[in-house]
This record gives sequence, structure tokens and C-alpha cells, in this order.
Amino acid sequence: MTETDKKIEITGNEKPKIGVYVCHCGVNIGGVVSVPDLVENAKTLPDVTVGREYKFFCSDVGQKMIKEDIEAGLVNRVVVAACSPRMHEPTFRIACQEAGLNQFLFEMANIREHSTWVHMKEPEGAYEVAKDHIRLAIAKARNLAPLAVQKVSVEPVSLVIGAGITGMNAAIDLTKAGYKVYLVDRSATIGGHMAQLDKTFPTMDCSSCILTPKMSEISRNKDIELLTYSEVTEVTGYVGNFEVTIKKKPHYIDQVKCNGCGICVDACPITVANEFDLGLSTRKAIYVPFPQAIPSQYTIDMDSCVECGICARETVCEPLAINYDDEPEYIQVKVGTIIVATGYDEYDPTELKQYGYGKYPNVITGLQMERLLSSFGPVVGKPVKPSDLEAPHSIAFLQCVGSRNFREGGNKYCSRVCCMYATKQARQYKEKHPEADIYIFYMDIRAFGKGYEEFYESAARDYGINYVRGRIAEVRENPLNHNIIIRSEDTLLQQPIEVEVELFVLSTGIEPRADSDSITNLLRIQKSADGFFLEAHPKLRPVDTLTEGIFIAGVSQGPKDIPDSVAQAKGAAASAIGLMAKGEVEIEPFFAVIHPDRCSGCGMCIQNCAYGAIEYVDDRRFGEIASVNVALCKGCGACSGNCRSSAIDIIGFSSEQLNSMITKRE
Amino acid sequence: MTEQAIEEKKSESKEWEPKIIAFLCNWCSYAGADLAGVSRIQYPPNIRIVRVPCSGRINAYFIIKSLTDGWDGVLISGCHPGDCHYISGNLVARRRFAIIKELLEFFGIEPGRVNFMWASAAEGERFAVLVRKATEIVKKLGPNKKFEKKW
Amino acid sequence: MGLETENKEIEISLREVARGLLKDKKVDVIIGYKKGTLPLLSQPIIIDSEKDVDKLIWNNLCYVNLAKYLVPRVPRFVDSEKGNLKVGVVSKGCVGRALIHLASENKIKLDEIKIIGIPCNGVVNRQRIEMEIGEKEILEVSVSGNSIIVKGKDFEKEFPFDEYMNDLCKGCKIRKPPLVSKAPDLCVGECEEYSNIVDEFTDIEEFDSKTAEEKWEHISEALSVCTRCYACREACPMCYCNLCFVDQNKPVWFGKTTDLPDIIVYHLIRAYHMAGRCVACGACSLVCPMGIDLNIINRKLEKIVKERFDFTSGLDPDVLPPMVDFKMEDAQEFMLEED
Repeated sequence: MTETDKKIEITGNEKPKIGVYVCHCGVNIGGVVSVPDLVENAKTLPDVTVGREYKFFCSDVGQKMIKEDIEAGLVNRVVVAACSPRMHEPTFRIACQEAGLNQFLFEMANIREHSTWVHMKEPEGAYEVAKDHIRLAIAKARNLAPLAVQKVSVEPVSLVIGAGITGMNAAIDLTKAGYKVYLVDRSATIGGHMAQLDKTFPTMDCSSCILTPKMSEISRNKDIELLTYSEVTEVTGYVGNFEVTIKKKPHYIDQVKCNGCGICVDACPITVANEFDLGLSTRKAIYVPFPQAIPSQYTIDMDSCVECGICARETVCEPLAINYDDEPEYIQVKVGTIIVATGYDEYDPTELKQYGYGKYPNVITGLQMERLLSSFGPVVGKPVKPSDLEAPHSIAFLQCVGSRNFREGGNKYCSRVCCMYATKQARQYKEKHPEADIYIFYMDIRAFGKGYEEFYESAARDYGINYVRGRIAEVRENPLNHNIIIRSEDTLLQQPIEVEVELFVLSTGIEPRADSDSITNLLRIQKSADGFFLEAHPKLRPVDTLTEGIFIAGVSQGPKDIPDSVAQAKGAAASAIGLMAKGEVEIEPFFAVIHPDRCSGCGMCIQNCAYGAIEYVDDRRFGEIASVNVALCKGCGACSGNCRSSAIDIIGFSSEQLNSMITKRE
Repeated sequence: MTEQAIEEKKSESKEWEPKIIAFLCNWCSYAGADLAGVSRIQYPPNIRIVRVPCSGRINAYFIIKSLTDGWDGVLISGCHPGDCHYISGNLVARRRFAIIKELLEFFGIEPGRVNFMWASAAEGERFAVLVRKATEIVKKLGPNKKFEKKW
Repeated sequence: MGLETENKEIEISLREVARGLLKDKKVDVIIGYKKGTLPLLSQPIIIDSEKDVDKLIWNNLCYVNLAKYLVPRVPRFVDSEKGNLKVGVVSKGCVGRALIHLASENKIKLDEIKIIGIPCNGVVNRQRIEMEIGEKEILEVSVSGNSIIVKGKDFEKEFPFDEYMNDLCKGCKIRKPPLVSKAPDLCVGECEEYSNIVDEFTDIEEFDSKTAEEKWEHISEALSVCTRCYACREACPMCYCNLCFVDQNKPVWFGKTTDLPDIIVYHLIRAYHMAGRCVACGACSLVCPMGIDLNIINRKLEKIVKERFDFTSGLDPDVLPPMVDFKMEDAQEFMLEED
């Protein structure tokens, strides 16, 4: 918002002169209701001095009409009847400010999202709704008062939650602009799911080759405080001034003393499934997540450890770095912006009993296939069948497992990456085993990105991978050799098809993290219907959340591949940098305010306030009454909702303003 | 349609339509109503929407005043419990809503006139479904006569 | 033991305790009841010396809730030299509950008052007796056995107390102030602690089972005689707001006329404000010049709060009253839901 030398002297006590501007919004509004009639009707209401209509008031021409009226002194309150205020309230507020009118003397009537778009078949009804919404906005406008924005400083530090490819890229870009970053990940290493991938489509770049340099860059970067094996436990405050509590989970190993010799791993008697390899291999209770892990630290998994004491012996751990009594450490940091890049979970296909995952040994998931293909995976890049550890001569992939499922409780969305990764995995295997028969059972092939269509074409044409358009109807196991017998329909040939394959890969989709509620509760951000974090606007603000200062990026916002994740990481970093570069941010001054003569000191508001922003003070005239700390107040109104005497009120949503919209008296 | 044409049509049609004032919380329900609009989900034109910062802002006075000042019904919508942008505004409001409902019923004032719901910013469809439901309920109750003043 | 004897014994005991407190300077003033100007009335009295102790009475006509005198906006019990005075309050169960609840709302500091506990056995429904006597003047009221005897110039009528007790008192389970065991020297008569208060709310069951139309008929008829005198508000200890909602302007919420909708709204909102705060003392009904029975509303409030939030007002000053608290699991069966 720009400072202007033009300023119209408004005290809030002069008679309101309300200008009503009804927008056609192209045909969105004008095509359903009679805009001229709405204008004429508005002009009949008390205190309305100007009524105008235009095709697009948000355009420069439209805004100019409003500004001219303000500058000519014809109006000192502005009501625009158009789209949702969540769309253009800032636009018109700026226009008012530029014309010299205090930006808070503006009110919007939503006659598009809340009228013409939802009552398209009932134009008379839509007209009545629009008319009333305008009347209500005018009523509120009469009771608006000029307000000053609050300016708060922005701490030039950022918190990035999640250190996968998205989080790491965001962190690096932030440091390039000169800002300090706390990079937190709850796993013992950075790298996220990308570290589990072997090759990346469509270039067949080795995932580790492009990932590990980034990981090294992170560990070397002086401006990044890397907090792995840590979790954010509390966030309070507001944009520019977030107070964050981070819990550093105990490794039970003194990282300073530990010299990384690894003898403890050999000595440990406890063997458990290795979660990095998705259960296809084992690890010890004392472990490093994977060889290239950064930081390269050993950790004891206390859930599996039996505290036998073997690793703690001097003969095993010479530096005596083992400490079973290690405790979590809590630190508190102040940051200006937060970026959420918490990634995803793989869909677990056990519930799809018809495909036999968990029952037949030779049915595996896409990520498990990735680990088999990985050069540092359980079979060092030579995939084998789980049943007999022989290389399969035939493989079938099933697409859309756990995605595009419109049944009760299913994920309706497309996971975006499975068509491409199945093609990639099929190609990779075919390259080493040209004689193998590979089938990909699909509904649609989504090859939308740069080079993706060509990659897919080549897989089908040059590599001879069989793409069968059909959903698999039945899956059985051949008990003699654990082969998988698949029955499906080839819908393009319009024939049933039955194949017996040695390995069956379910191309499982992406799901939001099972515990994403811990993030939404922590940061008060929302989730969309599919369970991923909700962006502020699906088209124009894909990395912002509705909470200023908090951004989302990567798969946590919705399924996407690596290039799109990195693009969002850069977008979120740029947005955060924008806030921090400015150094200060403006806050709407919609706070709670007390009328001391009305307050009886009952204390209900004090109890209701979730932010502890209200307390008792001893007023010389009125005794012990309530008092608001504006720095903590968020203007939610939980206090005013309970006040019997209307002693505490919210500026911007005051009792008088709301009453004027309810009452039938003008 | 012109204003005149609508007046004529209104006097033709005999069916009474309720007028319901809807208080929607800015962060969840108002956004949900916007989403219903963006998705072009249709619902009957009986509600008039007032934006509030949080369902916790709703004082019993707004609800009762709406009934005394001629609205046939009141609808209040906030974030789902646990999702409130202001942490607990909807939770303190929920208890108030319970008391209001119980007292309205005890006084013999049709409790169906005042309805409460939760709808998140992603639930455009749910918003429309519940608005339709509330409209039906109020419609069955007929015009709000109990608060008609004589003078 | 008959009512008459009980009252007499308690009265004697009360005067003893009061005398002792004033003599030992444990309190500066005591608020209690004295004989009223008319036979069926009682009045509050504030005494500050032992010689006035015999003015204190105790009988079934003590209907005012004395906790009210501790909440006016200007602290009344302040001496220019001594500062805040120590106050003793003659408390039947509901008065004690009111004091404890007001302490949880920060209107009273419990360590600055002495709750003199009295086991109340109910207050007579003065309006009912007056209605039955009609226009004849009542000259004398006394208690004999378990009845109230009302005498006039040429009549004498006996009212069995069990029947003519205030409806609220009939269902009352908290007849002596809670926490009384913490100060046994302040207890008059029988005063052990409560263990388990079980309230079935059977007294409002009949009303609650009526249809909506029947309820509206009953309540609108009962309230239609209201003259908006606000005696109920003045008698209630919980109505201590500096600015009552009916008196508000900017904005004016509701009308102050005696038009039925305005009357209904006043009582509806006042009841809403009492949720979790009303201690069911019945003072509001008993001071009403039109004899409106507000008791069923008060009992319903107690029932709602007990069933939904497992809360009974005025038992513990450290428990958060329900309307400033919340639980994730609060019942929400009334919320609109998709089918």
C-alpha cells in the first residue's frame, strides 16, 4: 500500500456519502441479473450519493471511476458490488488509498460467488440476493471508521519444515538472498523420498547424482542450521514474528565423540526391517539410514533397542559415545517466515485385497521396485523376485493403485507421477533384460511434462513394453512357483487377456502424510478436500497459505514430480524473501477494544481468549476491568461473542456494524 | 429481469420463501461458500451472507436480533472443531450454540429456525448441501410470526 | 422435629454465632435477615455491633439472596479508615453457592468474607398464599408445626409448608452452603459436607415433555403479565453488569416495551446469560410483583448445564464455569449434518 500526499480529512463523524459501484464482471453478474436495476435500487437507500455500473471495476478504467468520485468529494465511503472480497478487497482498498480515502472506508458486496454463480437458474432469486447483499454492505459502510494499518517488523530468518528436495531447494535459495534458515526434518537424514529413487524420468538421471550435491551444499552452508531428527512442537506469534519450539530427538549417541567407525552396527544383536528399503532388507537397532546420509550420524532406534549394553562396551565403542540416558533437547527460535515442505506417504495397497499385496510374496509396490532397482538397494540394482531371489522373466505393472478411486474412502485424485515412473522402471529393467516380457495395465497414460510423451512413446515403440488398456479384474497366485496370474480386459482389442508373470508391481500413488494434522494444528493452516495442504488460490497463489508468512511447497501441497516440486520450492522461497526483504509487514487493525464504562470485570473474555491477549487492570474510575494487549490480539472475536454488556468489541466487525446488517431499521 | 417484472412475478407466485441470515466465518465457511460459487454448485436463493472473523464472534444478540427483526431463520457456519484459524473460537461458540438451541426449544420457539454447521474452505459441495437442508427446515416452519411486534 | 422448632433453634444458634464473630472482631459487619414491613416479607439487614444481633431472624420467609449485596459496582463495605471491611453473610445453601460462583467470576474474594452456613428447609411461596387470601389484608404470619398460619381481621388459614413451599425449594438438593466443612465454627445447626448430589430434575420433567406449541402457550401466557420492572434482575446476584443488555445503545438490541415479543426476548436472553451461573435460589420469582413463575426456567438451566457439561454452579470456586470453557468432545448433536 502506497503512502500518498493526497488525503481526504475523514474523522468518521461526518455524514456518510456512500458510492455504490455495481460490477457486471463481464457476463458473470450482468448476464444473470439486471445491474442497472441494482444500481437504481441502491441509489434509493439513505446516504447513497453515487451509483455506477461498469463491466470490470477491478480494471484500471473501473478503478479510475471510483477514484474520480472520491477526489471530487462526491463520496466518502465506497461499496463495490462484485466478486468475493477474498478476491479483490485489496485491489479496491489500494484504489481508495491512492485517491486519498482511508482504505478501511471500503466495503465489498459479494454478488458473484454468493449470488449469480450459485443461483444461475433462478435469476429473480439471484437478483433478490444481490440486492440484499448490497443493502447489507451499504449498512455496514455507514458505520465504518477510518483506521491506521499496524506495521510490524519481519525477522530475517526462515524456518523450513522438511528437508527433501523441495525443502532443501527452498533453503538454499533463501540463503542465496542472504537469510538464515532453520532446516528441520524429523528423519535422521535429509533427502526425503528422492533419496530412495534410482533413476529419474525422463532423462534417466541418477537420482543420487543430482541429489547428493544438493545435500552436501546444505551441510556446508553456514547460513543453514540443519536440525535433523527434530520436530517442530509449537508455533506461536504471527507473520514476521513466529516463536517456534523445536524438539531435537535424542540419538542416544554423543555425536562429538562418535568417530563413525561402525563397529557398533556389526556388534548389535537386534535386527529389524529397514524402513528406507521398505522392508526389503534389514538394519540393526543402531544404524545410519543409508550410506550417503547427511548428516552422517549414527542413531539408536530406541523402540527396537533392548539396551543389552553390547554397543556401549569399550571393546566395541572405543570413544564411549553410547549414552542410553540421552534426553530430547528443546530449542526456541524466532523466525519471520515458515515454509512447509513435508512431502508425502506412499499409498499402502494392503486394503486392496484383490491384488494380493502382503499375501503373495511377488506382489510389490512401486517404491519397493525402486529400491530393487537402486544401486545401493538390497539387491544392488539387480531386481529379483522376493519368492526365490531370481531375476524375473516377466513383470506386470498395474497403474492407478490407490488413486482415481471414487469408492468410499478412496483417493479421488490422480497421483501424477505413476504413469511416468512405471514407464521408467519398465524401461530400466528392459535395458538389462531385453528378453523379459513387461506389461503395463493402465486406464490412461498421463505423460504431460517436458519430454514425457516422447519418453513414453519410446518405451512402447523401441523397448517393446506392452501397454494394455484395461483394469485388472482378478489376481491369483500359482502356488508352485509363486507366479502371479492376471486376468484383465484389453479394452483396445476388446478381448479378455490372461497373463502369468513372475513379478507384479503395483504402481502405488501418493498420499498426504498420515500425520499431517500435526502440521495443520501447529500452524493453523488448512487442508483441501484431498488431504493435501490448501493453497490460498488454486491458480494464482499455489504456494501461499491463507495465513500470512506461512508457505507450502512440493508434494505436501499436492502430487507432483521433481521439476514441479523444485519450481514450487523456488516460488515459496521467493515469496518468503519478498516478505523478509521488505523488513516490515502491514497488519489489518481489526483488534478487540474495551469500553471501560461498560465492563463489569466478569472475566469471561479473559478466559475465552486463546492468545491470552486480555487481562485484568485496575482502572481508577471503573475498578477491576478487562484490558486488551493489542500485540497479542488477533481480532477473532471469541471475547466479544460472550460479552453481556457489549463492553468488548472488535474493530472492523463491531456490534454496531453487524447490527446494522441484521436490523430491518435503516 | 427488471425490478418491476420481479415485483409482478412475486405477487403471482403464491409460495412463500424464507429469508435466512447466514453468518459465515471468514477463514473456512465464507471460503467454502466462495468455492461453491466458483464450482457453480447451485443452492436455493434464500440465504443472505454476513462475514464474521470467526464463529466465536457470534453473540447470542445477533441470533435473537435476527429473529426479532424479521428474518425467518438464522444459519451460523464455522470451521470444524480442531481446525479453527483462531484455535478455539468455534469450540467456545459451540457451547453457546447448544444453550441457545436448548432455550429456544424450552420456550417453545421453533428451534429449527436457528441452525449451526461446520464447513471448511474446501467443502463447497457440503456448504451447498447444508444450506439446502437448512432452507428446507425453515421453509417447513413457515413465516416467523412469534416475534411480530404489535407496536 | 417441627418446622417451628427447627427455625427457632437455628435462629438462636445464629444469633450466638453472630455475637461471637462481632465480639471477636472476626467480622466488621454481618448481613442477615430481619422482619419485614409486611407480615409475609423479610428484609436484609446489615449490623455492625453485638447489640443489634437480636434483630437477626431466621424463618421460611427469608427469600432474598444476600450475595447480591456484595456485588454492586461501588464497593459498599469500605470504611475510610479501615479500608475493606470484613463481611459475614448469613448463608442458606443457595446464598453460599452464589458467593462461591461470584468468587469464580472474580467479583468476590472468598477470603475476605465469612460464610455463616445455615441449613435451609425452604422458602414459602409468598405469591401463592397472597393469591389464595385474595384481597383481604394479612395481619399476622406465624409458623406452627409444619404449617404457615396466616391471620387476618376475620380469618385464619393454614398452609401446609410442604405444599406451599417455593417450587424451586422443593427440588433443592443443596440446602447448606458448599465448603461449609472448611469453617465448622461458622456453621449454624446441622452442617456436614455434601458427598454426592444426585438431581433427577423430575420437577421439570412434565413441562419438558410438552410439545413446542404447548410450551409456547404456557410460557407466553405466564410471561405476558411482565411489566418490565426488572425486580428479577435487581434481586439476582448474577445480574451485576454495569450496563444491562436491555439498556444498551449503539446498538440498541431489543425493545423495552411490554409487547409480548419484547418480553419473551428479555427473559430468553436473561436465561441465556444465566447458563452455568444461576444457583436456583428463586429470588427472581419471589420478588416478582406479578407473581411470574420463573422457576421452571431456572431449573431447566441447571439441567442443561448438568447434562451437557456435568457442571453445578457454586460448588467449587476453582472450577471453570462451563461458558468460559470448552472440550473437544463437547456434544454437538444439534449441529446440521449431511445425511
